[in-house]
Amino acid sequence: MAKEKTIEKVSYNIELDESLRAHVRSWKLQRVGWVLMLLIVVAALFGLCGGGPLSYRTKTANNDTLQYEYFLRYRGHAQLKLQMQHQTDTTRVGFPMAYWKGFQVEKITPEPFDTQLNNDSIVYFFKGVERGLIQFYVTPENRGTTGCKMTVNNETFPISHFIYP
Amino acid sequence: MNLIIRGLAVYFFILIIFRIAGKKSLSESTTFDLVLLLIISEVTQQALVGEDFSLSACFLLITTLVGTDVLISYLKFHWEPLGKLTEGKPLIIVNKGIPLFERMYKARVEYDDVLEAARQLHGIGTFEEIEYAVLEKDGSISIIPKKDLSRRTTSKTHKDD
Repeated sequence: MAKEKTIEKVSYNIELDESLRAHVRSWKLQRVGWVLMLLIVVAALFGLCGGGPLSYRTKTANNDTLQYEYFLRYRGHAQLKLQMQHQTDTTRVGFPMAYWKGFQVEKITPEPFDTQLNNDSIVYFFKGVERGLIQFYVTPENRGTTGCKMTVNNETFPISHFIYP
Repeated sequence: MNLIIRGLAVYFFILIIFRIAGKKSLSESTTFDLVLLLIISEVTQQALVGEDFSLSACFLLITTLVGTDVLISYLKFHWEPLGKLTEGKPLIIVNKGIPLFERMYKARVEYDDVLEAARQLHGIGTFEEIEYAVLEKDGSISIIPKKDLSRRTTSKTHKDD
């Protein structure tokens, strides 16, 4: 309030609708807007829009670890990283079709030797996984919240995402 | 997302972001500002059209953007508060030769910006010679010189003739 008083009030004899009150209001809103912009940028740096610690999620089951991002962007790039400690001869990784349809699969490393569709789910079969690491490179094709229970052999990993438009 | 919704979202986002940035951002641009605007347009274009490079998408988007602009200007004309909200109002920053520093500070107009406008528009070099300087809605600065100065300049011009 004290600062408002310091803004000079003038009388003038030109035809001009100055509306000082509107200016004072807009300056205040602008300052709020600048702070908001700064907060958005800082939050984005920390991963609120993906690619940062706020977004990274790790799920562990029976010493196997799944890493993925919670915040994704529509048609941006995403990755699901499965690190297995106990390697079996054949590894089965399954996703519900309803979830998997929301993504375009760009690449899977290593390549599965077989793929099967079972009861509304898709199952990839891997053999002799090097260093126990399986990676899915995908592109989100839908917006909003999505999630599923990913299965790895007999373990279950709950996954959830928020995909920005 | 639908092309029209994308177009409208981008239109209103740009409107808000430039309003928050203030008039200073719209005033005379430096080379860097020009490059920044080109980068903004490039980023916007990608979000607008995505991978749809069809002629119909282009026509649809242009129609949406221009149509929205016409609608907003029509509404501004008939409902003044909208104009105030989207464009703001002019602001006096020099009154009878006295610079109004608090107003200039709030509007982020520098001392030199006013003198530059005075030199360019009227060939005058001091605040004393300025009756009013106004920061216009588009971010430009207009100068009204003192009347005795205008007379002096006119009579000097006649003498030179």
